[in-house]
Amino acid sequence: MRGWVFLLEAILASILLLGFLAGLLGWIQPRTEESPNAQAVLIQAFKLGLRDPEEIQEFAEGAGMNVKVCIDCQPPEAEEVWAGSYFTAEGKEVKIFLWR
Amino acid sequence: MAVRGQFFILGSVFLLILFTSLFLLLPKEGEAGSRIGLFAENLKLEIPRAFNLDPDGLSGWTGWFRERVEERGIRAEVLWVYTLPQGRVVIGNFLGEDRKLKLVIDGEGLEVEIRDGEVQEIDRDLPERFELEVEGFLKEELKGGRPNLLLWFRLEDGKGRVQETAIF
Repeated sequence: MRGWVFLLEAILASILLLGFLAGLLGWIQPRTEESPNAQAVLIQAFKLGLRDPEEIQEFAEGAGMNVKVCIDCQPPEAEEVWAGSYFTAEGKEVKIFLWR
Repeated sequence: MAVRGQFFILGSVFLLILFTSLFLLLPKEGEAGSRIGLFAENLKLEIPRAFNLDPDGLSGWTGWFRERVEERGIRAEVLWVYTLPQGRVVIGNFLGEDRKLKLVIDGEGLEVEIRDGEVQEIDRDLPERFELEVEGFLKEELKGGRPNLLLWFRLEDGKGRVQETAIF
């Protein structure tokens, strides 16, 4: 009976540890890679039919993001971090940059 | 008793390793908010637009899209078929290798060999309603009097996979 309790405790401890590690990973990743949130904003903007970078930027700012949107461009300043891209039917890459 | 306790600690470590490796090794289905999930959305939103801009340019666009996502470490396999009312069936292979595909139009089978990144055109009268199948990928009932575009794709990175079919 006591053995089962220990086993249950071991399983619980493993799940807790795993949850902690997954949480830690999830916390670190968005800060080192492109941001899925920024890309989701791009997708949403295109779903709504927005095509102009300024309109998309306005839409993203409305969603509370500090971003810069441009087409086929390089990051204009070192403080800006590329956060996502969207590839249009016209063969253009719409990029979204987050301000650090 | 003291020794038994150590075995339980060892057991918990093994369980942790087991859960962690399962978590990391098993390919997960991409969620709507994941990186590949978002590129999947991008593909589904833009491919019908690219088709409407110029059906003949769809091949170039698909190749371009595949290259762009592959630059970001995502393996993209794409296959599409479109039909035009004047009796033209075009199939594009972007699966990453030359393929022999079986195309079934209204019950009539046809083997087509297509190199990766290329298309095959078939001239064929299309009835009012017909069934189109690319064996192992797509099967759909379509109307012959209008353009149809069918898409199959799989996007995969080290963390997950999205596989979908779509009809436009």
